[in-house]
Amino acid sequence: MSELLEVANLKAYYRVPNGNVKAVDGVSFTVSEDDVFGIVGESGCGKSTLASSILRLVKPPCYIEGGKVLFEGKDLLDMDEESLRRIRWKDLSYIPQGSMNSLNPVMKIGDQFADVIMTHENTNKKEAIARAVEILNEVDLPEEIVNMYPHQLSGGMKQRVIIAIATALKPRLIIADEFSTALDVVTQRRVAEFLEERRKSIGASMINITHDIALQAEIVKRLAVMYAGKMVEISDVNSIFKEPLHPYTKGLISATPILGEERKIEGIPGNPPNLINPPPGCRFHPRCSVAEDICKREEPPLREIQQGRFVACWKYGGI
Amino acid sequence: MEVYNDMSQTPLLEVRNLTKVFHSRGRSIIAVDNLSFAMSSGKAATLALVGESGSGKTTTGLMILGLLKPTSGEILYKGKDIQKMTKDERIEYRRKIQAIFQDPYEVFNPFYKVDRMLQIPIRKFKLASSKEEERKIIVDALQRVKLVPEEVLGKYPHQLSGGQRQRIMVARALLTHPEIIIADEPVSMVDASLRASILNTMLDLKKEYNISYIFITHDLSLADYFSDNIIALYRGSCVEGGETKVVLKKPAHPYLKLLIDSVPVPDPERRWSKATSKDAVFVEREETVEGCKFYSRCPYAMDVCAKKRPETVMLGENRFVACHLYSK
Repeated sequence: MSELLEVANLKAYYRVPNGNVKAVDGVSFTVSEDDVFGIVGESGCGKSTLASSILRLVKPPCYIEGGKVLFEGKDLLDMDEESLRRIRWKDLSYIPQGSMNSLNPVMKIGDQFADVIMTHENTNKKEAIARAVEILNEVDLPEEIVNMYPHQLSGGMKQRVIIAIATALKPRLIIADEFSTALDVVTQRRVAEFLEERRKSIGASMINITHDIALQAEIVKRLAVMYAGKMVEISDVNSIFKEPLHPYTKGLISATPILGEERKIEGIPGNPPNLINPPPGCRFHPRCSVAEDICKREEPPLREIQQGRFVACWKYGGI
Repeated sequence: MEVYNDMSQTPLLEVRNLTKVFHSRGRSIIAVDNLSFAMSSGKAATLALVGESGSGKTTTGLMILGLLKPTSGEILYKGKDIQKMTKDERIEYRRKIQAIFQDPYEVFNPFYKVDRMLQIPIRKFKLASSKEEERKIIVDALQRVKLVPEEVLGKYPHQLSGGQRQRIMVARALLTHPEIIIADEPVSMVDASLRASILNTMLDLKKEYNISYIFITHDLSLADYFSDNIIALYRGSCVEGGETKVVLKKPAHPYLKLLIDSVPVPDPERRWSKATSKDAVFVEREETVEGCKFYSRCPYAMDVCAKKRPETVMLGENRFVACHLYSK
């Protein structure tokens, strides 16, 4: 497996009156061909900012402080706008949070499809609509959708349309941010299956971002856990659930109830830190039950402690 | 449909044939359709109302709280219809039935310190005779929900986390010594790491102060963890109910089976297996179905299901389902 995406020491900060909010603070990971890479974390941990910084879509007051985003070997952060614009959507597709509500309510679905195709491919409207119909057939959606308006579709169907549009140009990598929020569980499952089928058929990799660790368990191959702007653990999904390493990962898993299992769930004490002045050392130490002196002073680096298992915690070997 | 637990004594709360119809642009939407259930007095218990969006669970909660008038049907508190209460009885009812809502960000007025949120019910219900007593009641309530009073009093809502705000709402509900708390998605906007401890605090309060809950949620894993009894709603109708552990282990209704199969499980070794049912493609406009409302999506649909609304069948003591598969 070669690396499709390599993110190295990426930092994205928000300028606010009393300092910088370090929303993404030195994040590194790789996504290979045919990978489904999940990022899980709670609100404010920086996962959505991470997605938009990879695509260089951050808007002020957010800015990219530093780092590299190598996509097929080219650094997206140094690229000129025009070359980047060509890569976005065609090779690197983004399904942002709440995107099903971004469909234009007064435009037919077919026209919205055609817009995307015409922007990236040299075709006329008629051909673009024909392509849209072709894609709808490919993904097994009813053809008559092209002549419908968004309000005529159910939430799940709108999200499928968004996925079909986002993948119309067969991108190499799909970045999906909370693709199933506001959908009911039955629909969530169907849309997740739809997305996975589509990903497989076009041979893309995917980064899936959600706060829902149970949903990640259903979908991804590898999982990264993010806390307070940093990756604290990255591993294949089976190992992470079988034997979580980082105390925060352990806490998240034991806070999640499992249907049909009698097990007392436990929360993690305390609250996530303020990212203007994060605590020194490990950012999780004020909430960690096994924190030692070193955790309060020095920041643990993300290290590979077993083949493919990364963790940023002093418990797994000191300096 | 007459669905409620058979009880010798007067139930604490009873809902009989409750119906709510909304009218909008010439269409009528039946949000709650002939719903009946009861909660026993005595030992506190939690009843979960579960269903997807549009199932009528929140509307039911609002009607019980007296915030929405039913189109028909009755809500009885200790045998007394809440529509026919005298002013004093109504005040008493409002004290005994409290609410916690979904969004701890919306319910606070950003211009006031959180203290005010707790002072309002104390003043409204005249629970304290002096400033000192008021302060004492507030501090006591905050401690009961495991907040450190000094950390939250005197603060503005934006200075607190979602978890802290929701705990304040629980504390506020406790001020009036309620018998029932209607908790409508109380933790769905709270992060997972804080969610568990709020639920555990609520469970402690149930035991300690004998408070029953009506727990409204779309999340079956939470309902399983938190409730004793469960009622599953589909488009305003009760499809199945009974003891939570029994119902969720062996659901009878095809809709509830479908829901359970769709819940993501935090275990990558037990992933979703291939499913059989369909979800809605287009916006569902057909509100006046003669037969079973789940007919168009049901993998077991029979001819009778299209024509006749299924009656509620008892499957055991305190266990019922509304489905033709079980009709005799």
